[in-house]
Amino acid sequence: MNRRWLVLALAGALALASCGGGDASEVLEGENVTLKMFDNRFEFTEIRIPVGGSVDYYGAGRNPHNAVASDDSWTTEDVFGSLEQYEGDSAVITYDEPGSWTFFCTFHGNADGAGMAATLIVGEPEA
Amino acid sequence: MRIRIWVVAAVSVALASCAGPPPGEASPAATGDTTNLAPEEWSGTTRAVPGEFPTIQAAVDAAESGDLVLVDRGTYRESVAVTTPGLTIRGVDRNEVIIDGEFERANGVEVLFADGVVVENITSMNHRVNGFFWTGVRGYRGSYLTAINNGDYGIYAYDSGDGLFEHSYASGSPDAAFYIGQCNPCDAVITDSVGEYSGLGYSGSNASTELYLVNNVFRYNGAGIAPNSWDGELLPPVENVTIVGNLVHDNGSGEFPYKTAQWITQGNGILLTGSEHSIAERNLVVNHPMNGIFVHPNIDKNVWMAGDNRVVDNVVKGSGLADITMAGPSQDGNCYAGNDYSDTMPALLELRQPCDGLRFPSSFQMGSLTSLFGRLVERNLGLDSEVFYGDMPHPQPQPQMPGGAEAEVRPAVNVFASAVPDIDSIDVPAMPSDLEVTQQKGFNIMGVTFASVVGGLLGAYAYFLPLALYAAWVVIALWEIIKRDDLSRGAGIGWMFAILVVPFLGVIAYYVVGKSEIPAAYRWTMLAGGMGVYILFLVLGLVIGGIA
Repeated sequence: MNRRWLVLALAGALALASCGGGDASEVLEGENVTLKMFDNRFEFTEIRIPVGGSVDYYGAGRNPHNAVASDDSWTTEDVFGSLEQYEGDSAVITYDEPGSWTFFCTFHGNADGAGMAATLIVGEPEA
Repeated sequence: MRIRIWVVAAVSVALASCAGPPPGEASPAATGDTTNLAPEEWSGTTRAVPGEFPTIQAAVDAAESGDLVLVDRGTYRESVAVTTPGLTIRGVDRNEVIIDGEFERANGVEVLFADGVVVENITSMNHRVNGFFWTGVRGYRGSYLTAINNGDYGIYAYDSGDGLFEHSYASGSPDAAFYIGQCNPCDAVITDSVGEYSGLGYSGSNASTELYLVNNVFRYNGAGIAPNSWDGELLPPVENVTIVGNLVHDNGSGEFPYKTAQWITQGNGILLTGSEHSIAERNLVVNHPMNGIFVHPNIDKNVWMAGDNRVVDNVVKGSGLADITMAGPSQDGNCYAGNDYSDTMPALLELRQPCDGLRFPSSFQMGSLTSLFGRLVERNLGLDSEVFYGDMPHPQPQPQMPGGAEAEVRPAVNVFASAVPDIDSIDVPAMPSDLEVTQQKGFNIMGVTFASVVGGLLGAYAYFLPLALYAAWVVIALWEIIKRDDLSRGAGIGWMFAILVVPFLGVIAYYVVGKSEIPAAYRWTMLAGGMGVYILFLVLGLVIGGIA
């Protein structure tokens, strides 16, 4: 295999590897993360960030979506100005206190975690 | 530098090949991998609204599986969320039991992961999102429903299986009057229903297998019926959809609310958008500015090509572009037979793509796609005019459910098994006495229409220009070869053969390595200049259209 084909094969393999995974049951973890809101579900069902970290709730579907904490302590409406985020609309929320919340899309889920819902954990989860 | 180019190319190819639906899994309810948890029979308990409970939601919250929530006449300003399996929510009067969202609340009735819920004989209107909505359920039924002017869908089942929408009416929804999405096998039927004044009469993204649309009317929408493959939801491509005996008319000619996809597809009757193994049969399709029946690919993150679809025994009249159109690129196996029509695009489609016998290659008629592309660019440039869904007309009072409040209570269990239509018994709908063929044939060149400036420009520059350039290159090259004294007869004939037989590359090779006597500056201007303009328009279209 000459050098060009080796590079081609390696780069292709790298790119293919980079597009795998991402199953909805996996955890999204990081300091500042982006959570896509598809029709009609969140890209990940569990999100973990440190205290001071942020989540960008990003519209990636054809239908309107939002993210609202079940205890109503925070909502994307607070920063976006509307509960209706369409494709390309972004709402970044920074979390300065530790905590754990179920959150949901008010259009396609409910506060009990049914339908379009997920869990956010900020800081270390309680033992 | 060369290695860097190869790396970029390889990564691009690899990423393109892994583009697809978002990660995740469909609900087991939508793939037939679970059983219905609802009781098969009524519990015998009736929860009366407002007699016993002041709101529908209060009654639903108090109800247990298998109960009947019976709603008396009145306007209910609430959103109803259902999480209890097997409930039946019934209005005593379809036209006078109204759930009104007042353009403030999201859904009229939403059923969240609760199997077997029935909603019947009720009107839901003026909601910002959906009129009636089931998600993640096995077993659902909507009967004698009226959904008016809801901001997303009228009557909507998503990620669900085993369902029936019957004797229902939906209008004024920017996406679709009726929508079934993300299921395979869907095990679902929509029948004896009317969808109008919406972006689409019916839309079904990735809703496949054992899905029947029969004996419905879809009119005055942007487009009539559009099962489609789409990367934004799971379970693509769409396949095995059966569309029989529907009356589809006058879509795309009046005012309707819409979103982007609906703006793009306006003016078509039945679209098989990146669909596979689907059937459009014995439908009456009348008065569409674009195509009566349109089989075409959907260009999303992936290119979903239509294949193995059957378009047979339909009656299609009054289409601006063509009564039956197939655009490429497409897979093999689309076939057309027994239709009553006046023209097809490409011509002689039934002869070239019969359902029995040899099918000739005609998979690359792309001219009729330029209007879709043009509409997409128009929309993204803001050249369209918004229509508020709340301004759509209200219907006349709709037929009541037989039996009304006293009708038998039947939770939605094994719905599909008792609702599968006898397809063979369905005839082409009769032409209504008040429906006339009014749509005139529009001007087009090889499928490119000039209904909009943007579509015309894209058609001219991104479709015709390369063909015109190619023709010019060939003529000039052949003429020069005839005139050249330095070429032997054998060499000249060899080049002619290459130019005529090898599309594009043959003539380009002649200009590059054939020692043409045309000055290099002219040759490069001819080759690169024209193609540069073509590529510029194509790239602009792709970028503004949001495809690239």
